[in-house]
Amino acid sequence: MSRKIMLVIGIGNELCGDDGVGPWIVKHIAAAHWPGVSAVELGSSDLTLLLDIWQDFSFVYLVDAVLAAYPVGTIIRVNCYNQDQITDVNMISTHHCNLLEVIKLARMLEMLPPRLFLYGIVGRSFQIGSGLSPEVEGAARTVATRLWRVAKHLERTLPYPNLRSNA
Amino acid sequence: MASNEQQRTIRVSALARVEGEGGLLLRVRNGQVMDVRLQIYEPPRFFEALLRGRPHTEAPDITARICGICPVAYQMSACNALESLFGIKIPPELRQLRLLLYYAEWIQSHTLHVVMLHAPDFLGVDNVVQMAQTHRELVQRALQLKKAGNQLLTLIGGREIHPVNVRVGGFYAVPRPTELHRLRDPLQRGLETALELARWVANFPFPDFEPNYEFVALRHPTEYAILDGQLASSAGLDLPLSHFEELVRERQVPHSTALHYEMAGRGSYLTGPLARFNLNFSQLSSLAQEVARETGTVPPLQNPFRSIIVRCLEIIHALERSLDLLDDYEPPSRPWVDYEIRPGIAFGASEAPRGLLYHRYEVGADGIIQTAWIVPPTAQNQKRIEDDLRLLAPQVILMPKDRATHLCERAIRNYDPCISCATHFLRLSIVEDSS
Repeated sequence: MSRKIMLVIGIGNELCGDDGVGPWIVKHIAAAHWPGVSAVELGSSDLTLLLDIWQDFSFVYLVDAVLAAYPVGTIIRVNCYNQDQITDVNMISTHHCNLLEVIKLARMLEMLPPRLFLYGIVGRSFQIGSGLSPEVEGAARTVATRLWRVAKHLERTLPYPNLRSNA
Repeated sequence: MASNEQQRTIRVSALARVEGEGGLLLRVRNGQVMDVRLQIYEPPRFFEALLRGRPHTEAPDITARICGICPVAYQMSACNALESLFGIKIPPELRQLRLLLYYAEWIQSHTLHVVMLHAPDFLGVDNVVQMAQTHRELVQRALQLKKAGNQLLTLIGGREIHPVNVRVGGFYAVPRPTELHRLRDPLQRGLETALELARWVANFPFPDFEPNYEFVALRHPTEYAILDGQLASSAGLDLPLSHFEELVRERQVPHSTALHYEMAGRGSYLTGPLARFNLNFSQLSSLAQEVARETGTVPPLQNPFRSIIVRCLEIIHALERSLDLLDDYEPPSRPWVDYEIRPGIAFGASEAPRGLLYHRYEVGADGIIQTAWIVPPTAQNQKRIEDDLRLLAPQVILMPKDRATHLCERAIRNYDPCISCATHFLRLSIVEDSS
């Protein structure tokens, strides 16, 4: 089966402050109708669903709020195929299953998409209430711009080389 | 403290493989258990407050956000409450679709817990990643089973995460028969996996532990209660749901931001798969009953560690019933029924994967929610979990710290606690300390 190109997955609960940054980006993409880009809001659901959601895509970008010893709004980009990078990131998130475990499981079962990246945005408040803190919203706009550039780049460079060989 | 006294504190500050955030404190002095506290220290999210002032039509969608694992349960309890108040009679075709949607959630949620979270306990490994090294094919098949439930939920619920297709009075849209029938094969294969899972987990070594529980669940006259029913308990209660608030006592405890519940005058109680199984065994599907007997899993079943088998039996039940409903499906003439708003107190409940989920709303003549009260199953079980830990404490305190921690964690995981629902938050952590 031929793969679809690019998928953005927003993780987090939009009713818990900065935890909603993933869903915010998904809504942003959906409202702008980016051609060739699919966007899915995973919410605060079971992260093993990722294995189903990303299976048909070549380039997958996860967006999630993270806790880290960096200033609020810092963007952390992780290549999920890079073991060192992935273990460096504090994967404690507000979601039940550990994202790191899910990625490891997917790798073991050969269920990772060919390219998988995480954009983590350092959050300030995860308390009840909708809306992002200003720093996080600013970072979300930056991530959206970067994703848009990726989408345009992919559009220009089609057809791809065999992505599997780089996975 | 007197010099000859010995005090030991076991603190588990982050509970792995349960939903939400919580910790456990067990304090022992001179071999006596002084204190057992399941600590939930995340701030409550006050979903009830969020519902106040909102149109009643938003209740299914707002409450679905409380839990990413069991959103359908919240939608169904909300709809049951409001439809009961408004005198809405859901036609059989729509009710069957709701059953299908709810079974899809049970399949997903139970499979997640049995394979990804609970089975590693019995195999002596830390997590499903380690388990997959030795049980690769089984994990793959379990993921396929979960996916089948997810596909069913996506089709009827409108999307895979936080479904949006449920409304007061029915659904916004209903699937075509061909769409549903496409799911028959994955569900049939899932049934084969579920049968294998049940037989596999039934052979696990289970600790010898049988507390005297009061089981509480819904009971339905003609089916294994999931969507609705009367209140039943192993103490002989069989009452309309309207008695729920007289029967249970709600209590705040300083060490937890989740409320505690107990039966008035009787103490803690257990809700969830073990309660449903013991109270409604004869209504399980024929295949589920057959496997139960084959594996020696029959009521009365008091050992909470065996709840992993019961969850497998409930997966079998959900799959068997789903296949029947798929075969019988005829699209309803309309996706929903019209209704008129009536002011008053609405209450409703359903059986979430983790147990009885009760909702109450006060609705004005304008259809606006004035107050809301949500009682999730994990909150109801929290005192019972502490009681289990208290009973286990004499053996726990004789164990090395790591084994003691592990046994306590297992005792908590028996309940598949969704602390994110109970506290209205979602994350956990574990800590240990001794003096």
